[in-house]
Amino acid sequence: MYPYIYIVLSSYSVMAFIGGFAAMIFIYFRLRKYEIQFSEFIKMLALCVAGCYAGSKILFALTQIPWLISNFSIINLLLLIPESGFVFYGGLFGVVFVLLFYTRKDLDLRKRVFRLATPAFPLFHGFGRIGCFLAGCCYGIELNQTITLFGILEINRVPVQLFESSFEFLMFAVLLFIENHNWANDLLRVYLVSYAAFRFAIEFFRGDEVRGSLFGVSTSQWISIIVLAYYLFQLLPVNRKHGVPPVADAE
Amino acid sequence: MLKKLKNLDKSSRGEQLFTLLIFCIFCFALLCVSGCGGSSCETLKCGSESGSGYKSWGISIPGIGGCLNSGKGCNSCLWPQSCKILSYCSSSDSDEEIDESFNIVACDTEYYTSCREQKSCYAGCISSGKVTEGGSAGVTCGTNDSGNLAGCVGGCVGCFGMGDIIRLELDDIEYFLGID
Repeated sequence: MYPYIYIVLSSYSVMAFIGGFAAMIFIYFRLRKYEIQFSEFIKMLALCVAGCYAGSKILFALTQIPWLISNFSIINLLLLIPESGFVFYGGLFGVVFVLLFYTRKDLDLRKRVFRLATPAFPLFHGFGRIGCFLAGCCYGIELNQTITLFGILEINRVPVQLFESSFEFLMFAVLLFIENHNWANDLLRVYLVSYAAFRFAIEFFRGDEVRGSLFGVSTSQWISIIVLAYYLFQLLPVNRKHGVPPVADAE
Repeated sequence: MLKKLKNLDKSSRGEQLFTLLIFCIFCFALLCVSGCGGSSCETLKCGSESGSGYKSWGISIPGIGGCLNSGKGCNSCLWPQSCKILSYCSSSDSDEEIDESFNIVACDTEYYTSCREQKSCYAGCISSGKVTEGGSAGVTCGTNDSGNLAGCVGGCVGCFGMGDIIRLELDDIEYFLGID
């Protein structure tokens, strides 16, 4: 007899599932407002999942190239991507790239899609970071002094995952507010600039060893710098004169 | 396929939500299968083996990650780790010239610093052969690469560097018991 089946689920996957489902439901209930068909949404969703998965795995694998060089073998090469973790920036850019590609012939659809989908990015990521906290990855630096909560819990590292999760939920609320009040057309720009600035700062409090770095600056900080530089470049008067369009405003 | 998708536009809200739920479960399964090669999913495992001249048992208890750890032990915020407690006792036949008995009781904490990098720290008691005949006995502790034994080795008393010998021995026992 084997009357029970025990299934163990990783907490990261569970939180990612909750975040993904919440993001989907959030988008689903606003499809009508943006005049997007359900079938169109499902197609984009499938492509986004593929883009997110590929992007987050590939970017993580890229940071592991120095490790691969020093431990080179065919097996390590083949297992590099399957055994890689997930990187948020990689996933985000994967999704943005896929959506840009999908809407390449319909710029009005592009505008609507990005306006609809952008608040869902921080919503998903907020849950994902709670998953990181539960899994024990992406942790912070050690505190000089242990903080005791409720007389039981000892916190000996900066809980950067929870800080980032709180920031993401705040961003979700802010983006929703901006969208409802029509304060900005390009929500993706608002989100990317805010997140890049926040991520650049919070990286100084990260204590996990596995992230790649170059000249003492982590991969995520380099990406944040590039994102901020890109949007700063768009703000230059010369670009404004010639009208370089932001991603979701291109018409 | 595309026609079937188009039909979904006319289906009820409940059906559409159900489709989304199925889609989400598919993505969840994909995550579970591919997340860090499964190493982030430790399970409760126990095993025991016995035969002529040996007896062993072990248990592997999954830990919790996060930053709310005590800061003691390996002193690290841990990727889902496991704490393995094991015992292996083997006795040598009385008519053998060399005593090849081996006994170990140890606690082995394993954790992941990344998807593929696994570290461990262990502590325990060990005895191998008769101390009076060149065997060893004492208290041991160590990590992946290095280990120490405080006690008696080859007739000398002291603290001895054991390299990764005990670590490899523990790996073998854990594999043998199915709690690795």
